[in-house]
Parts: sequence; structure tokens; C-alpha cells
Amino acid sequence: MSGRISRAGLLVILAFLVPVIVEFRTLAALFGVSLSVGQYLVAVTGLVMAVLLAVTAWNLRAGTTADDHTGGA
Amino acid sequence: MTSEELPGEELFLDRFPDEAQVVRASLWSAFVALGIGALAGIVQALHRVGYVRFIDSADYYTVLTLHGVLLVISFTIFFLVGLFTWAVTRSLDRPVENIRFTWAWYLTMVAGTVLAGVAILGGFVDSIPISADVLFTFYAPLQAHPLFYAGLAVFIIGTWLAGFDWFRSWWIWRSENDGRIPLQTFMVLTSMLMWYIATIGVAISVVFFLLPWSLGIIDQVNPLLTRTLFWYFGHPVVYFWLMPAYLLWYTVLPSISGGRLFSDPLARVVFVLFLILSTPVGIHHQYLDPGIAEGFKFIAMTNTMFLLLPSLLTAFTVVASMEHGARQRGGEGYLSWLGALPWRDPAFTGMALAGLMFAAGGFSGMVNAGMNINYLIHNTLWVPGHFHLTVGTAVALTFMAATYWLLPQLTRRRLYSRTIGLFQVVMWFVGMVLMSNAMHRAGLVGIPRRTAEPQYDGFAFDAGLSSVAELDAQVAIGGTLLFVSVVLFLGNLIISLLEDPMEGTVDRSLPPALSGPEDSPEVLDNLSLWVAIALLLVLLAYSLPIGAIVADGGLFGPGTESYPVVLSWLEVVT
Ligand code: HEM
Ligand SMILES: [Cu+2]
Repeated sequence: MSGRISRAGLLVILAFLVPVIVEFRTLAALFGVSLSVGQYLVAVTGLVMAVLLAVTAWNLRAGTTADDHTGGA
Repeated sequence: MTSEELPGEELFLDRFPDEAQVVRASLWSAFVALGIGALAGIVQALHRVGYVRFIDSADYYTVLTLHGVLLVISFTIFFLVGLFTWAVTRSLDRPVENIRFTWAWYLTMVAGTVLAGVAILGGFVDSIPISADVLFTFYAPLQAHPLFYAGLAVFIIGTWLAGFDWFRSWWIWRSENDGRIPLQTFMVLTSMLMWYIATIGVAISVVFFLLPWSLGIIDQVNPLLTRTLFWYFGHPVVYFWLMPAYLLWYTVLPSISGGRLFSDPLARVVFVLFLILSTPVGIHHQYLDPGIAEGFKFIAMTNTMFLLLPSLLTAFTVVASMEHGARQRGGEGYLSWLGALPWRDPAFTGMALAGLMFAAGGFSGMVNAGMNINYLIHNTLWVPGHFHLTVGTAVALTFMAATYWLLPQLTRRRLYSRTIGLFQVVMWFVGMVLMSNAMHRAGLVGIPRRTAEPQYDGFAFDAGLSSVAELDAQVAIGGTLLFVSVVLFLGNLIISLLEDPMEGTVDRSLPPALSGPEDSPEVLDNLSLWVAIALLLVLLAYSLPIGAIVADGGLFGPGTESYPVVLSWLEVVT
């Protein structure tokens, strides 16, 4: 599979997250969940942490299967 | 054959030094406009939301006119003429016929911009009796100083001459070569044909009506007529902004992604569709104008929906080409090939993010285009929200990203910092997500555009899921990020130019398409046929509405001697 996710790649992934973060309350409302501002902040912080953890986990796994070059993300 | 196997091309500036100079001059003119335009942008964004007011609210329209005109006329079109000169010269592999003529059209455009710019800036100084606070749409009865209209006319004449320059290169090339029109030249020629057809409208409006009116030669104009002529031009002009971005997505982006264009025939079809379909739709900007029958508006809406086709074809072809590139670079799987794309390269990431935002802009554009839902968002902040995604990002960000790629071959300089470049394009994306999202939302709840001090304090106002304060914050933060992004872009460029020239060459060859021109029907290159069809569609879409507008409102307005004259005559009789 593909190699590690570089810092440039992480930057792009986080950029893609911004629309979701900004409209997270709208998104939740679509599923009938109404969030207070506090809940919203907790939720999006959690979201970002989850993505960071996922990327780290991915890189650890990719690191064990050698080939961590690729000019890719 | 992949791009690695091709010999590194000679740098454009070594092969065509004179042309490279014109291209550089055009791009710099574009970037000066971008810098000033962005400054106006941040000033008005912070003013509207009431955070910082650098200017008097009475000057808001001066700033907004500056912003609109500099960004969507000067920045976009100067970049376009530079890019098109580069594209025609390199794809025909021949110098321009007469470099003095090439400089002449460039200087004509500069002169036009300076005239219009002076007229706009005059609006800041009360003691100078010159102003042009008419916004980039210059609707009557807003009236500008004659310099403004004259400047526009001169600028447009400059672009006509530029088009002639490129056509002439092609005519001579054709007499010496067989075969298909090279793809980039094909794109330039079709764009220019569309531009010639479209600018007739605005030329008539400016030269026969608005300029004589501001000079006092005629007393009044028919505002509906000049508006309709403006939008006859105003819709195709949005494609004029987009077509250079498409040229880059089709011919440069695949190579940056490490692959080749998926299909040359599809690219030609798309440009032909733009040529024939982009003019007969302008009335979709006038859904709320009284005086145009609903039926004509309905026809414009139908034509507009057909225009989705070339954009969807583009989305398909460009993504397919990127996927091809990613797989050349070792990408695999259904989606994981995305990871194999060169995300570290600001030229790639900028164009990819621009394309993505264009998709979002396409969706909000469909709302604008629908006659019924347009009523909900007409003249609200939704509309600037929409076009900051299209021209303000799909086009502007693509141009900035492409500049990173063009820089070495035009200046023999490497980009000073790729990291800053990458940061800059991502920052634009994030800033625009915030600003444009908030603008769309604000428009949905009816917050108007073109307003210096929208007031929502002191009474209950339902701003949907959020609050006006939250939307304002998004606009302010987003606008600031965008402004900083422009500063980083310009700073990075300037520092690059101060560095020493690099040695050797860089590979900027553009590999041929996977499915080449030999696969596309000859008829696609029959430009006269497409022009004839385009003109026919224009005639069908516009002759009746314009006839009705003139019949109802008079060529030069309804006349000043109406009821009172008749009444006094009646009084005399009785
Ligand atoms: C620094 C980045 C920018 C900021 C902060 C910004 C901000 C704004 C704001 C707040 C408005 C709405 C003002 C109102 O209706 O009251 C606006 C309008 C507009 N913007 Fe931008 N903008 C930026 C970049 C751009 C770019 C790159 C383009 C096009 C290439 C663009 C084209 C326009 C146009 C055509 C209008 C409409 C002007 C009018 O209503 O007459 N902007 N901008
Ligand atoms: Cu339009």
C-alpha cells in the first residue's frame, strides 16, 4: 500500500476538514442532533484529535512495511 | 511515453526571449491588480462586519468598485493575455509575427486600466470632480466619469488586438503546417471567438449609450437595455475567466500530476460547447428585472442548465488525468491513489484545491440559475459567496498555482520557498471556506450584498442555525486569511526574482494526451461552423427580448416629455 503521510499531506487533510468543522452544527442538525456551543467545541476538537491519531497510526503501520519514500501525501 | 522520457525542453525564455518579456509584463500587471484588489477586499470585508472601519461608509462603493474592476477585469484578463501568449507561442512553436504589435496591444490594455483606475480612485478625493462609484456592473442610472467608460473601451480594444495577434500566428502556422490545431492554440482561439461575440454587447452599451450619456451628449439611456447588453457580455465573461484556468487544468495539471491528459477530443468538445453556449444565457442574471417576459427568462435558464455539461465533462477528464498521473507514480487502489499525488507541490495542490472549490461553486451556481430559487438569494451576500468560489478561487487560485509552475521558464528563477507556496495555497482554501460559507449562509437569511453597514443589532433576527455575529466572524477571519495569502504569494514571487538565476533547465514539457487529436472528429476544428451556430443561438435568445425592451422603453429611454405635456395640451383644448 501507499507510504507514510507527509506533513504536506497532513496539511491538506486538515484543510479538507475545515468545511466540516465550520458547519459541524449544521451537519449534526441534519441528523436531528442540536449541539450547544460547548458541545460543538468538544466535538470538533475530538474530530481533529481522531484524525491526527489516525494519521499517526497509519504512518506507524506504513513505517513497518518499509518504503517510506513517495513524493505523495 | 512518460514525461521523464521526453528531453527537458529549452526554457521558454531562452527560446522566445521577446515573448517571455511580454508574458512577464502581463503577469506582473495582473499581480499588481491582485495586490490592490485584495487590499480593497480586506478593507470592505472588515468594514461590512463593522470590526474596523478604515474608510468612510460613503466611500464604500469606491472601494467595492476598485475591488470588482481590478480583480475581475484587470487581474484575470491580464493574466489571461500573458498565459495565452505563452500557450500560442509554445504550442505552435513559433514567435509572434511582430513583437512591436504585441507590445502595442499590451500597452493599450495598460492605458485602458489606468484611465478607468484614475476615474475610480478619483472617488476618494472630494476636491477632484472625477469618480466612478458604479461597481463593476456599471448599471445606469449610476453614472461614472467619461474616463471610466473610455478606459473600459480602450482596454477591450487591447484584448481584441491581442486576439488578432494569436489568430495571425495560427493563420501563418496553418499555411506552413498540416494537421490539427495544437490543443492549447485551439483553446485560445475558441476562447477568443467567444470573447469577440460577447464583447459586442458591452461595446455597444458603452460606446453608444453610457459614454455619450456621461459626456452629456444624450440626456438619458434605457437602463434595462444597457443592463441587458451588460449581461449579454457578463455571462460569457465568466467563461473568459475560466477558460485559461481550464487550459491549465487540461494541459498543465496532468503533467504536474505525473501523467498525461486523458482525452484531447473531450477537451476540444468542452471548448466548443463554451463557445456556442455561453452567450445565449445572460438573461439568467436578470430573473428579477421587470420588463423581460418570463418566457425569455425560462429559455435562458434552460440554456444555462445545458452549460453544466462542459463543466461535468471537465471534472471527469481532469480527475481521470490526475488518476492516470497518480498511477504512473505508483498509486494503487480505488481511492488510495489520491495519496500518490504530488501534494507537496504548491502548483499541484493549488490547482487541485481550486478545482474542488469549483465543484462547490457549481452547486451554488445551480441555485442561482434556477429561476424560482434565484428569488431567494437574488442580490444577497449569497451571490458574492458563489463567485468567490468560482472566479475568486477556481480561477484566482489556479492562476497563482500556475505561476509557481511557470516561474522558472519565464524568469530563470526557482521559487524561493515551496513551503510558503504550499502554505499559501492551503491558506487561500481555508480562508475561502470560511468567508464563502458565511456569505452563502448570510444570503440565505436575506443579508444583502453591496452594503456598507448592514444592521442586525437591537432586534430579534433569525440567522438560521447560527447568529449574525458568528457569520460576521467567519467573513472577517476568512477575509484576513485570504489577504495574508495574497501577501505571501506576492512576497514569495518578489524574493524569488531577487535570487540569482538558476543554472541549466527544468523540465516543463507537456506530454501528449492518452487519446490524442487523431481520435477527435475533424469537424471540431471547423471554427467557422461553431461561430455560425453561436451567432444563431444569440439571435434566437436575444432578438425578441431586446426588441421588446426597445419597443417598451425606447432606445434612449422613454423620453422626458410624457404626461405633463399631454395634460397641458388637454388643458389648452378645454
Ligand atoms: C483578499 C481576498 C478577498 C476578500 C477579503 C474579498 C472580500 C469581498 C467582500 C466582503 C465582498 C462583498 C462586499 C459587498 O457586497 O458588500 C466582495 C465582493 C466582490 N469580490 Fe471579493 N474578496 C477577495 C478576493 C476576490 C477575488 C480574488 C476576486 C476575483 C478574482 C473577487 C471578486 C469580487 C467581486 C467581483 C465582488 C463584487 C463586487 C460588487 O458587488 O460590485 N474578490 N469581496
Ligand atoms: Cu451567468
